[in-house]
Amino acid sequence: MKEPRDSSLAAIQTRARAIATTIVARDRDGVTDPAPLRELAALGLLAAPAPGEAAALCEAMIELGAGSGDAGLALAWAAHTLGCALPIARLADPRLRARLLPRLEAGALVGAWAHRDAVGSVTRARRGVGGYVLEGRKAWVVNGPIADVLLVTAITDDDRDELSAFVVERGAPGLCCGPRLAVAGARTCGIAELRLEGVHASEDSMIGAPGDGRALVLPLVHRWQRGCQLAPWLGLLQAAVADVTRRARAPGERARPRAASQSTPARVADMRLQLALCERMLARGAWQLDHHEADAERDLVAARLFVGDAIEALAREAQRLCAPGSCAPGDPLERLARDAPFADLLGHDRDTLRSILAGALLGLG
Amino acid sequence: MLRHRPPTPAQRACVDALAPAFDRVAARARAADREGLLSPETWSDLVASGYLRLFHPASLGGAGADGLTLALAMERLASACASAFWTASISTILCGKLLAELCGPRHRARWLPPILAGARIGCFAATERGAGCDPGSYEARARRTVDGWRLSGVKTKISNATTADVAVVLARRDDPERPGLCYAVVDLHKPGVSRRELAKIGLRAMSWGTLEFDDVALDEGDVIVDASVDRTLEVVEWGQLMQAVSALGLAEAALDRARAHALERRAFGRPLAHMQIVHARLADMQVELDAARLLTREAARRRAEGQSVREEVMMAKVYATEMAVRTADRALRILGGAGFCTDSDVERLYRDSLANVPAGLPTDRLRELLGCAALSIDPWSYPPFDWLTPAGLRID
Repeated sequence: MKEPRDSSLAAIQTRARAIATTIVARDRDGVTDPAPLRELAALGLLAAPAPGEAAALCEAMIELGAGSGDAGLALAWAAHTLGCALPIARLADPRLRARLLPRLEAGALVGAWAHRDAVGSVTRARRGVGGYVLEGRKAWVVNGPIADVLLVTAITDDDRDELSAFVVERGAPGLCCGPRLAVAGARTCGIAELRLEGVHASEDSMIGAPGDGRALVLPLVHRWQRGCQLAPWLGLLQAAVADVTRRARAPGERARPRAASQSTPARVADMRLQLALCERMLARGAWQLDHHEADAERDLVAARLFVGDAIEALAREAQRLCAPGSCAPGDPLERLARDAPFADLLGHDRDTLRSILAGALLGLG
Repeated sequence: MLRHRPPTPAQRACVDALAPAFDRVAARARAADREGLLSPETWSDLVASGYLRLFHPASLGGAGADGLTLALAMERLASACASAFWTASISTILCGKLLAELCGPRHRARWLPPILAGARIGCFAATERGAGCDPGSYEARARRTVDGWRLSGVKTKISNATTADVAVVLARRDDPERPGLCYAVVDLHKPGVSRRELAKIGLRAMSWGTLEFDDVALDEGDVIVDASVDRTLEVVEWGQLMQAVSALGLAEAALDRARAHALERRAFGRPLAHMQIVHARLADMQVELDAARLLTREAARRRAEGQSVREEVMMAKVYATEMAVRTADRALRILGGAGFCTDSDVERLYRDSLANVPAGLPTDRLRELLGCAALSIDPWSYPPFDWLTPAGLRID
């Protein structure tokens, strides 16, 4: 976020259109191509956002989502920028930051956020010579197959449930990235399981102090994920609703446009209404990131919940409204319907978020 | 442009100043609902709070509050007592705005000061037994005479019908030279006006009923302005905002009661507040309320600034009013049988929330207007009825 966002919106639109030209092939082939993510560096979108930049960042990412139609890129960006570059920029050792951050921001290195443990696994870091030794498995690591820098969380003290965060770099002995997962949606980003088999992590590679993973890193990443991560998805939805509107007007079966059915305007109205509400929830979330006033955490969770629900509902409704054409492979609405369930991949699932929000309402602490 | 404008401390302080009076109104809300009547004490509190004056500029005797302050104040009162909110708001906002902005200096001078002082109550009479959101089917007529007009017709489902002193009536002008709809300002104490209450599910302490005009004599200046569809929609924008904000207040109150119950009520050795399904309901209530609030407050702010916000207002009305019904329903589920008792606040809030959905154009008609605008379709002309072709059945 080195450039003022308003002045670069046109550049984002141009870049997004270029990315969109290859989306069908990349989605069909399911090949992890880091090029679109790297291209975001030129727009300043791979830089860790500074305080006060959330609203501008969200606007930029809405534009990118709308123009590119690339949900995988939205995930890759969130994993790289919010899950990796951001904690390194804010909390890492200065030498580590100086070594990695400029290259992450320039797109020379790809970052990933490896927090979710695989089923049946708890990632632990035990004290070793000159640092820690990491053991465990991380699931659903976005950018896993192409990541150069991974931000990995691990338990450093079981008794105290102490969670710490480490920077692990590609090529570290014992770091194995499983094959790219075959997934139904978000196929333009690489998702893989990560195995940590005695990976050495130096003292300097720890973000902050032992326990800061839970105390500082998770709150920071969660806050920004909740506030900004879904911004490109709003762009995807905007494009989908515009697409639905166009198709509804066009002659359909028996030369009769869908819009001639009385239910179509009502359904289009509901979709546009959801978009308007999502915009306002994201705007308030971004404002809270920039100002951090009372109820900030609650508002951020609320934004994430509302937009998350809307992505799922609107993607399904857009496809239904334009069926059966929208069920054909390569159709943008078909792709969005497959991509939508992946919007929740980073961060807490929505049931957990509901409990977090209710906890704030009920004063459960 | 992603822009969020939270209320300023000054705006919050302005509304906090109303709180003591509104708290007293809230304390009487259940009794008002039971008795079907707002007490004189409640009306006195409303008048003393200054609520009635907020919506009009100082030049007209009002307080000239900004749009966001207005929305905050309305929400606070609706949360306290929806019947009181409707009674006061229909009078000062809907009728008051019509008088102030469309009905000329004579009627403004005669009616607005007593309405703002709470000494008189106003209403807006548009709907008829056979005509709601279709203005083409209104039948009430203003017939020209030698020295003025005669008004005849029946208006029904009118808020404040039996308590109001003045009505702005939407009528068809029986004048070959200037046909079409017009507004008539009618002193409801005139001979020829009769009225009666209609029974209703909610808002029981607000008057709601039928106004019958039997050849009521009006002065030349009482039928005052063309009522085009566009102008009428402009007027009902305030009404729709009113219903949206009313819904916010009701939803907030329902959420409060549900939250309190979840903390107090124990089952299976723990408070309901420790159950995840209760969390999900409370979270959904809060999230949807937040979304409705953001949209409605923004629409109110921009409307008061004179911006064109028809789409936002319609959206706010659709979402907020339906959200309030969902929220009250969720609150009922959290309260279980306790919510079904007629002495429960949630039961009243649920009934009251239903009124906002059809009022000021039903939400389904608003959806149609919004969708037709997006699809460049004329929402006012319908093709001849045919239930086969739209579904493709005639060909299949």
